[in-house]
Amino acid sequence: MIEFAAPMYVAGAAVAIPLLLHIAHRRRYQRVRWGAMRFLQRILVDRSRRLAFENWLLLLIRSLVIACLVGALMRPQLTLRAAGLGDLIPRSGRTAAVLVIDDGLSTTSPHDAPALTRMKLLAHAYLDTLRPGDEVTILPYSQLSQPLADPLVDLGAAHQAINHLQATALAGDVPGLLEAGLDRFAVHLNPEAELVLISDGRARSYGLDDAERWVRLRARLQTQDDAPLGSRLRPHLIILQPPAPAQALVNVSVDAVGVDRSLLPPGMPVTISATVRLEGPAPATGLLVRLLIDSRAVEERPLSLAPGEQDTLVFSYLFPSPGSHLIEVAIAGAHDAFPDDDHRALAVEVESSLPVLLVEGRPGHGLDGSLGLVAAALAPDAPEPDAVRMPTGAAPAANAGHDLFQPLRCGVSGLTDERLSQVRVVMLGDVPALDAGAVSALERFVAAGGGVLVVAGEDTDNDIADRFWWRGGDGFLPARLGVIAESGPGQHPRLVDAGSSTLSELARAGQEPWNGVSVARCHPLEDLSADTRTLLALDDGSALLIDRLRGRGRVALLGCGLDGHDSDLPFRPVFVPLMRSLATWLGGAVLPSRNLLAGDALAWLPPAAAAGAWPLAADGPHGGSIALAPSTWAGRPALVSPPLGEPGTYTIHEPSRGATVYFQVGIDPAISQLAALDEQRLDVALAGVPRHVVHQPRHVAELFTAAGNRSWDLWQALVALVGLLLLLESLCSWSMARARDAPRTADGA
Amino acid sequence: MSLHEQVQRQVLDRLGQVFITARQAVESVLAGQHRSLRRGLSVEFAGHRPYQPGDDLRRLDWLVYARSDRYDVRVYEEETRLRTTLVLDASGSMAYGSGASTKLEFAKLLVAALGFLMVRQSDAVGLAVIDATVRSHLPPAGTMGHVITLIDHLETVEAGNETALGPVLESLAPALNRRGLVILVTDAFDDITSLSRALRLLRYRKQEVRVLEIIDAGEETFPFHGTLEVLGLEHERPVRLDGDRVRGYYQQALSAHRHQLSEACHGLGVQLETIRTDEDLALGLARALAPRGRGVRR
Repeated sequence: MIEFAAPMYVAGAAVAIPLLLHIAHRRRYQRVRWGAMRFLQRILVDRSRRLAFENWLLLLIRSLVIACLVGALMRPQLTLRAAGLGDLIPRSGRTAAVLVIDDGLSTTSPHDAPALTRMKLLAHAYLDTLRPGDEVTILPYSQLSQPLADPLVDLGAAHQAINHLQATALAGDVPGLLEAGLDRFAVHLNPEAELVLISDGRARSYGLDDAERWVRLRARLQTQDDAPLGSRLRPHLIILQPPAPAQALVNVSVDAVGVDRSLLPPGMPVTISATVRLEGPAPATGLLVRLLIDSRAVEERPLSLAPGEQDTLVFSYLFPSPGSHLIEVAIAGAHDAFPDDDHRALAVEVESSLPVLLVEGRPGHGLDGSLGLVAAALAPDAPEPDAVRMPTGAAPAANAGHDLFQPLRCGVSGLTDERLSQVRVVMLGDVPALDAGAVSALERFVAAGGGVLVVAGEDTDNDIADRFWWRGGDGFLPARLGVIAESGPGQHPRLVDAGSSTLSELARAGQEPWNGVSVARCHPLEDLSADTRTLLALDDGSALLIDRLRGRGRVALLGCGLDGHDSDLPFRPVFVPLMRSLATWLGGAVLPSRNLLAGDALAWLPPAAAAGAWPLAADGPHGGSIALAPSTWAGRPALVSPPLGEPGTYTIHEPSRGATVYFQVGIDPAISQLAALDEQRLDVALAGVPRHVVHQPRHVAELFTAAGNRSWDLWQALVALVGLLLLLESLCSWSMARARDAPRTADGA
Repeated sequence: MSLHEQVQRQVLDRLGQVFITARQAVESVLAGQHRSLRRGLSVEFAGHRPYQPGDDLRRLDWLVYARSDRYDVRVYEEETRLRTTLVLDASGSMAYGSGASTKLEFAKLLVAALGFLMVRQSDAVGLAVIDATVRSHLPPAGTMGHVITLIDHLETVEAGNETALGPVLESLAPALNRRGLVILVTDAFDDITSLSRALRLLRYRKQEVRVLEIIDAGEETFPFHGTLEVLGLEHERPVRLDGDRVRGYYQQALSAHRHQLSEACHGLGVQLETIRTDEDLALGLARALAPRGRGVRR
């Protein structure tokens, strides 16, 4: 069987070129006038057949020369295959090999014998089976998003690339690697293809629980059944992974660190929880769990875990001052297989108060106005609620009140981008209408992560709200607002969905606090979309309070006013915790996030006062420096870093306030799952897809055999044939010329 | 420069000794015929001339010697007045030229020179211009004015139609009713068989025939390369061919043709001289006038 290493389309040139040259040549005639025409005519009569024969003979020889040259470029190989190779991978021609390598963080385990080292040995063993002329692509998981270079034909360079592999903080993704590897064959030329997966054999990396994804991958590997196995459309699948340890690895990990509230005020105790898990067959004793705040150890707890046990430790800490803080939980004394997950951090922002912008459709003073009662609920200890009425253009003062919330009341005209940039929560109280600029500002505010509560009272024009705020579901309003109507006697609100953990406090109180609340009239909330969540509903099941995620933020909609006219809710005890919970829930997220995963980029919104003195770099872990570039985040000026691959703590020093802002890049908790792959599950996932699995480097070469196969590169023979044909062409031309040479004339001239 | 001036410059001023030799050659060629003619015909006594080495001693006039101690020979008008007909091939093929002049221009110069020479040695010369027919015929005359008329006529000759040497010469033969010399100036690109028949007829009519074959250097080498569309000068159909491929065959055919011409002329006692257009005209003329086997070395 003759195979071609180069695409067949080149063969067309072998036929076309001489014909085109011949036709082009024949089209150019030199016109001459001649007296001795009788002799030329005699030649054409006497020699026409011979001339035609010579023409065709030379054309044939020249066509063969070009065909042989083109054929040599196509690198044909004549192969005589030996029989009886069984399951081995036959190699008779040039190979295109794509090595996809899981270089995730789990390959650093176990600590004493990292899997990555053994994976490299397997990779080297595979490369040693390749021959000069074979093509190799080295494709680590961490480089999938980078522009890829051409395949390597220098096997020495391929070995070096393997040596330079290092584990990254990413979580491996075997299906993603296989798909990327299949795509890669499109740029290879050699005819025989081998897709080699080199992984550490962790079950988590395979993601076998995502059955749908494996179905798609299997379908892709099987859709080219008519293509021969080992071709670029249907490559041989080889899986190289170190053998599973004789015993399951023992690993202790800090899976999660959390706080009990979204808003962390200074001077108030905060509950910090840390979830510690032990994986493996052996117990873990003598562990020490250490809590650090801003890199300073504040508490230690001993811990012991039984095999497979998970425990949550609770700490309490009081942050003395507002600002950015770093909470860290570290396990000492684990001596486990994977030390990188023995530590986890959480960057938090301690805020003295949360500014809440109250936009009133009917402004008032004190308890009057559309949201006077809400303002009192958010800041009941405020001495002069009117004093905190925000004048136009003024920034909210820090610690203006003594409460966590700082309600700032304004009319509809006060809803501007500048004011919205200073708050995280906006409440619209019975606003009849908003101009287009205000609607757009709200949309941008929500998309960037802000929270909005729309309180629809008697003054809210449902037509305007539907047309400009709801817009058939495309607007920021989560539902269509019906005409306000009497609710009917005895309609009490009840909590349907607690939503976030903040509202769960209300859920724990049960239904009793709501029984005394009556809703006389409200706007029906209609056309709820599938992503809308009902938080409060009336006894007849109609929604009263709903919310929906929009962009990075969320919007809640209450169907009745909070000025006491539509309901007695503001006068009930449940009103204050409800309003404070809603405000916390809507404005509790600090964005952009300061808790990142490996591969994410850091983004920070510097305060306006710091303009012109922005820091140019962030400090990375281990003393490194990360450049920050001016950019935008959600449309706002921001400082952005390149993607961060190294886990750890990053800090930005804010010169205007002399403060430090903490960011932390953590690892995916799933990486801590070091359980070995269940190969039976893999058999199910790849049912019908031929594959070879090798665990030891010495067995890699046994996968392949060229013994019994005989193959010859034909391009050398074709080049030699070209030489012979050129010689033949010269001989023919000389012979033809010699046959035509005229003898010396009889008169001796 | 007119034909007169060309002839003067290129031929007459340079011939000198060649002219004398040529004159002798002409006379010696015809010596045998003239002797036979004198026996049977009444000839007019034309006078005496000084004895020259080689003259027949029987023609010495002993009475003149007795009276003057001079060796003079008697000459008769008939034996000294050679009638020469110059036949110029003006067919289309004669219009070819790869150098400074075409074959026809060279031939016209040659014919003009011959005319001058003939008249200067007191011979009569005539002209016939032929291609496929006899285009013009000026009977021989021995005056210089006739030569001038002849040359003036040559000036107007242009290459014409196809070549038909044989039939045309046969048609011309009856007009040559007196013994003489026919000098055919042609490229001889015609059927040798018909030409041979015509030459034989002329010989039968007691004409001494000489063929001056005019050939261009390019016609010997076929200097064209590559793909050609060859247009004939005698209205032949154009042919397309590869110059490099046919050169050998062409030279073979040309060589065979010329060999056949040479054989035919030799068999008929016709003297054949080949003159190339890039050759010195005077030397070529001298060779043309040299007796058979005694050509002037170039």
